[in-house]
Amino acid sequence: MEIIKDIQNAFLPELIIVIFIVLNIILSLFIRKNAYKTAKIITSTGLVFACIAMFFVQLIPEYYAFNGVYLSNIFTCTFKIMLLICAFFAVFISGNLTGLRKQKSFEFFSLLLSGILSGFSLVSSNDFITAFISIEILSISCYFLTGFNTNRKSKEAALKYLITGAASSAVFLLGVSYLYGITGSISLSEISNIYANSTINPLFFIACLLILLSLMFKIGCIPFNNWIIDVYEGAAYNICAYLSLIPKISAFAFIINVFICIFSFSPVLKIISAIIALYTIIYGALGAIKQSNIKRLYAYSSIIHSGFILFGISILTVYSVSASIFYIFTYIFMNIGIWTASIIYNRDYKTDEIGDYKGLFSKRPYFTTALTICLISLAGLPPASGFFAKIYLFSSAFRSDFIFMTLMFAAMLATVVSIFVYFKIIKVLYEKPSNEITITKQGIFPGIILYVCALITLLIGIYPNILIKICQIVSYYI
Amino acid sequence: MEFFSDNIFLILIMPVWVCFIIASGIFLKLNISYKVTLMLTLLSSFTGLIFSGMLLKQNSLHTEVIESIFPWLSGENLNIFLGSYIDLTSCVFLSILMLISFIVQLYSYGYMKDNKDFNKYFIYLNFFNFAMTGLILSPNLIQMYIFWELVGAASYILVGFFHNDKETSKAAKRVFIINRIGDCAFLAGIIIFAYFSITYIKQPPDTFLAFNSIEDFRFHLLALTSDGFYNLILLLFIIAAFVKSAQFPFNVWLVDAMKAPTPVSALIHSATMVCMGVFLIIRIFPLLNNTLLYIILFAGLTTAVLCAFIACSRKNIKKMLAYSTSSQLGLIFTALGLGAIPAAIIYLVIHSFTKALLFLCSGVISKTFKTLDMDEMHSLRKSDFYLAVFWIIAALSLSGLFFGGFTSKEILIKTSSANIYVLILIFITSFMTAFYSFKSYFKIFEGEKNDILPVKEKTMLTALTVLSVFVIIPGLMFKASDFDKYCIIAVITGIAALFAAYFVYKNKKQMQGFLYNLSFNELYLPFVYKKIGCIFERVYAISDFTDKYIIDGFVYLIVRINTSFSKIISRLQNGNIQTYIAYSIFTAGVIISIVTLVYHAAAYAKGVSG
Amino acid sequence: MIINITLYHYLILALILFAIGFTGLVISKNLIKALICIELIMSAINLNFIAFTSFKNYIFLKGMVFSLFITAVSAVQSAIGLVLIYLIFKNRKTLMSEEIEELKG
Repeated sequence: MEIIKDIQNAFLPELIIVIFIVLNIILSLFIRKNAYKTAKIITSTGLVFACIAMFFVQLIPEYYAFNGVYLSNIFTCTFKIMLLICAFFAVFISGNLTGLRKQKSFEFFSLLLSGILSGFSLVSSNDFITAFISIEILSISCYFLTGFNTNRKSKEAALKYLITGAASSAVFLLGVSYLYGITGSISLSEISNIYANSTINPLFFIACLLILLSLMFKIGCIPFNNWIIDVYEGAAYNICAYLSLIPKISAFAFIINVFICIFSFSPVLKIISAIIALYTIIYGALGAIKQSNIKRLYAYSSIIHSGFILFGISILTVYSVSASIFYIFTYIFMNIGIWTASIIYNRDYKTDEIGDYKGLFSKRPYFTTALTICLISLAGLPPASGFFAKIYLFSSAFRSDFIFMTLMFAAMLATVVSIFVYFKIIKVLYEKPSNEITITKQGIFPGIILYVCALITLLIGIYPNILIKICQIVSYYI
Repeated sequence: MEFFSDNIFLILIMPVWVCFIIASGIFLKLNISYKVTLMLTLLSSFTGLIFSGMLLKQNSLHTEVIESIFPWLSGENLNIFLGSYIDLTSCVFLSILMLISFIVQLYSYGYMKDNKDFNKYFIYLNFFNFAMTGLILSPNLIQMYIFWELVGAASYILVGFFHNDKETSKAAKRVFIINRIGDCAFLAGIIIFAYFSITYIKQPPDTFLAFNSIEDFRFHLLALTSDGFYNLILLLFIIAAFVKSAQFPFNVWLVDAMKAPTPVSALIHSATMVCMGVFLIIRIFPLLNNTLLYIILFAGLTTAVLCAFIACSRKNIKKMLAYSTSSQLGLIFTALGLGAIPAAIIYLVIHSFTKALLFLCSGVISKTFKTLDMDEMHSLRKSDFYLAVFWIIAALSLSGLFFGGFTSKEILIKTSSANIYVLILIFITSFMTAFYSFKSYFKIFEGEKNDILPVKEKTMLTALTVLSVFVIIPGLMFKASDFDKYCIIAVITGIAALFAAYFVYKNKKQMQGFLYNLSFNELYLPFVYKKIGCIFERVYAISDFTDKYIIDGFVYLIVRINTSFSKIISRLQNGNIQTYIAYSIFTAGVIISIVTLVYHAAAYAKGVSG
Repeated sequence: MIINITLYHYLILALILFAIGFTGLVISKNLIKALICIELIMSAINLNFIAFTSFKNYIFLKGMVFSLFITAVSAVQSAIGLVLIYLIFKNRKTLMSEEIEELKG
């Protein structure tokens, strides 16, 4: 009966999602017409149930389920809520799946759900086996989702994702195996207990390094960021929105866990990850200047933001980790905003180039305003929430060691370059339009989501206090 | 009774709400009728009026302070709180604001009825209402600064309302820029205060720069800084107050602001916004020491005399009234400089009503004559008797001869009766005030011909009547026992000025002479300003050169570096997946080896040396 | 000669296999060769885990369990890799990784 108690206390949302995945797959055999609508309804119902189930999960004393493998505390709960928000958005902006075959809707949504399921379990994993399996399921779902479109680019992008993903999993496993060899256990809490008291092996250092590098791949930091650019260009717009959020957030949760349990014993690793983060920001900002394809530009922008979040995590104080969590939270909304806007504009103009976005303000003024708000937030200007996220991050860096302070100044300079990147888009939006722009009829949902995101961005920018306090509480609990 | 103080946010939110309704009406092209806009706006002002009246009644007997704040931004050291702070001063100012706002809104309906931008105008009026209420109710300096800026922005928008005229836009720009000087001084003062407050003075977080803890603040600040530096810091705030209230070195913007529609001038530039300087000084009054009070006194008197002098020769009604406002505010600052806050507030209240009445009358006059130049006006009394009555009431009050102005002037004279020089200057000012008020009356209303078509607009007349009631009533509050010799001298001065004005009018003399020339050319002050500006132009040439070649060149250099890096990175992405992996491993190896080597070298060096 | 086969021999073998696999992954022009190299890498890691489990007397046999998982997952991964390669082949009729370079810049 321990299993049932474990499930009830920690695993309930995941179980519900599993049930709905199975439901989706079974229904795909029976229902032929109206497949898309049914699938969407079922998926959203599943997500709603998962949301409700979050309330029954035990939070206050930490709960280790399944013999210390699965963890459930406030930190994981927060991240799961973030993942659910992303999932809701991703389901609703799917639009009519233009370019995909409608009969495949059920598989599409079951893949979406399995990605979310693995995200959940990656967030709550306390053990390297669970983490590895979750990473693999997540990656595999994402490989398929990337390749879901019927054009050549998405297949190629999926292949590139697969090869680099496989390579990174391999490196991850190597690191884990060395860690296992040194400590004899693969559970994070046990490893941290062992290392709290003893000295550090050079092999331990190598093992941790390997794990760090493979996790850097997942988020899209230097030096493993080349796949992001190609994959985002190949995937469909709504998949890109999904890809830029769900794997990233789960990976960040796991990274935070790993950092705190294992990496806190070695200051070199913190400095290495800080420098990697800094280099990521600079590389992302510089690389984005010359891009003319909107998807590649957004890919570089997601690289930049991963760099910022990683920078906050690598400092490893309570304030900086809470700053990172706050940054992730605001990043969700900004990101969904820009991808939704791209979906809307792509349906109108069927183009990927920035230059063809000229003069959108005169045709769709309200959407363009919302998009501008999201872009301003990404650039880090007041009054949008990105400004507060960056300020909070930089102030927490300021208060810690000297070396982080110097790195922080470099990060600030890189921010300036990234501002140029976003304003390139904004400038194009407000120019005089060329004549061949027609407006097509759109569904309601993308528009609503765009407005909601812009609004939330502004609101967080004006009153960030509550959110910051929540993040601080969360980070105390890790 | 607690209902009014607890729900004070209602009067803050209502103007914003009305703004949104009207704005969404314009957005959705709903064609909201003008009457509906007026009703909504009057509703919000009326609510404010009720609230402030109740609060005044509640507060008038005791000096209790009700404060309610909530945190907005709190970091570790810096905590910014917003909220409301209700004491007697803020109740009084709030009442003036709501009352004059109500009357001006009623008047604006009649004034702007033919204008197609009517709804936009009311949006801006409501916005101004909101900003002003927030300013009056602010519990600490930071919220005050936020709303100070908002009021400045509202003033800019309203002054530049007739934006099709190029001169008006330029004037609005000048108004805003000069107000910026005050804003910068205010901000600098806040930053210095915040620096001291955060680093040295450990206070509970909700009293950061708050007004109810300002005496402790003075004590700590004096202990930390020398006397001269303390004066310098507070001088920043005093400069901010002077700029906002158009005192001597900064009074140039008030004349430009007269390009606004007349109700706006009545509301903002005579009755409410220009009183904000006074409000700021009252709020930081516990911080001021004798030197600073002397500075305020000196500046106030200078302005009073100077502006009254210039106002005597103005031909444009509104410009004359602008200088008159500066001059009267100078008298109020004099009272503050002597430390008599109640006298200053009473004078302020009555002056607001009087000046608003004068401006609103001039609005009707401008509609009648289609011009604002007094030389072209004549014999309005025969066509529009009521207007003449209103102007007489206002003029008598302004010169301190009768009605409300009499009460306030007597109180002012009583407080300054200790200092003989101040008294003499106040008498000179009141002479000149009376002179120009009555001269303008004679010029506009007296004459022989009878061919003017009066403007009969019901709302405007109602507004004027209500306002004149408020001007008359304080006159009845004068206690006969307070009548002493200085009051007699004041009354005599006023009557002498009346006769002088009548004399000048009767002889139809074009005034000449040295004094007139001096006054007409505004004491040659613009000439002086221009000369100073020429000196600055030389400096500007140097900075222009630096900007164009050095700074811009530097920026272009950075841009070129960035673009070249970007091209390199672009070429790295050649599409081949294996190259990606190879590059990544290589870069990772490089980074890790460099960092590890450097770190261990540094640790080794530290171990060896330390 | 009889050498005692210690733990380190297994570890070095696994490392060599990993290096060979990784180099093959990076160098190979044929995509199927890359997939095979991925399999090689996974087996090397399996070897690592099993070596650690058997030579050190740890209480729980978590390493063995882990290697079972790894085997299963790598099988799935190669299956998916084959699917994707097949789809690309259907479109472009080539398996050389140098010619699949549409997304670049």
